[in-house]
Amino acid sequence: MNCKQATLLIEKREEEKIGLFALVKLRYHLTICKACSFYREQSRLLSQALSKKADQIPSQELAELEKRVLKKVLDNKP
Amino acid sequence: MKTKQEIIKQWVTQYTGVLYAWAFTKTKEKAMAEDLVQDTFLVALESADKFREESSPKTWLFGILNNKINDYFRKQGKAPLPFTSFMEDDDDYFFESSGHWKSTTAPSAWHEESHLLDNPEFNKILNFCLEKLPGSWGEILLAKYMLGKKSKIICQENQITETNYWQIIHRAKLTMRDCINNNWRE
Repeated sequence: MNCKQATLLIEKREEEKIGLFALVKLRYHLTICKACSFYREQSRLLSQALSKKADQIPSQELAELEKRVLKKVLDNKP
Repeated sequence: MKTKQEIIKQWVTQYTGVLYAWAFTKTKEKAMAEDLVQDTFLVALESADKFREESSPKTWLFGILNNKINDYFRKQGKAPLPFTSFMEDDDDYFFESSGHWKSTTAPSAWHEESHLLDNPEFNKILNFCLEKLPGSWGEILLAKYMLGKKSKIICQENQITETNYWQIIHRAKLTMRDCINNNWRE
């Protein structure tokens, strides 16, 4: 297994099961390849950051946005 | 029994953030994203009777928002972002032809990794890098992570094969990681 294949498997494994044979090869690759181990950690961190993306709007800004949306929506009621 | 207005109020508090983030990713315009979110809730209020309890409000609201976004692109005569497929190429930015990391792109340690997510500077760079991704890669990443969509659904919506989908996720993550690495100073 090379690094290109290993990093693709790291991404797939986040969402779905991969075969046992592939998993063993990936595990072994990660024990001998520092760069791919760093990739795995940093890719996971990115996944977390992207999952939380909607919470990144500063809370002040979001509160004001909600207020404006609510006002417009409720004022529009006939 | 809650009134329609009370339900909408609750939804505005719960879902404005995620709807807005999605609308902004699609349109890249703050004011337009805000209008689209407002219109979404207006439609939701008008047609609240049609909402069935068995579907989740989030799914329902996203259905309305995506229609609004499509209308917006149609009216503007703008096409949505082109779908950029990844071409296998002899000159790969990340990997040697053997499939091993190039020395210029091989990941190394990041410092203070555990606190990065709470760092506003890090989140700024994350957004910068997300916007720099080619074509609709950023949208596909956000559909997967922010909206929590399964790969099958994303493939259907974008009419791409599963192989293509994983190539895009792989390349998009490699590109994001590299971009953050190059712009982040501890």
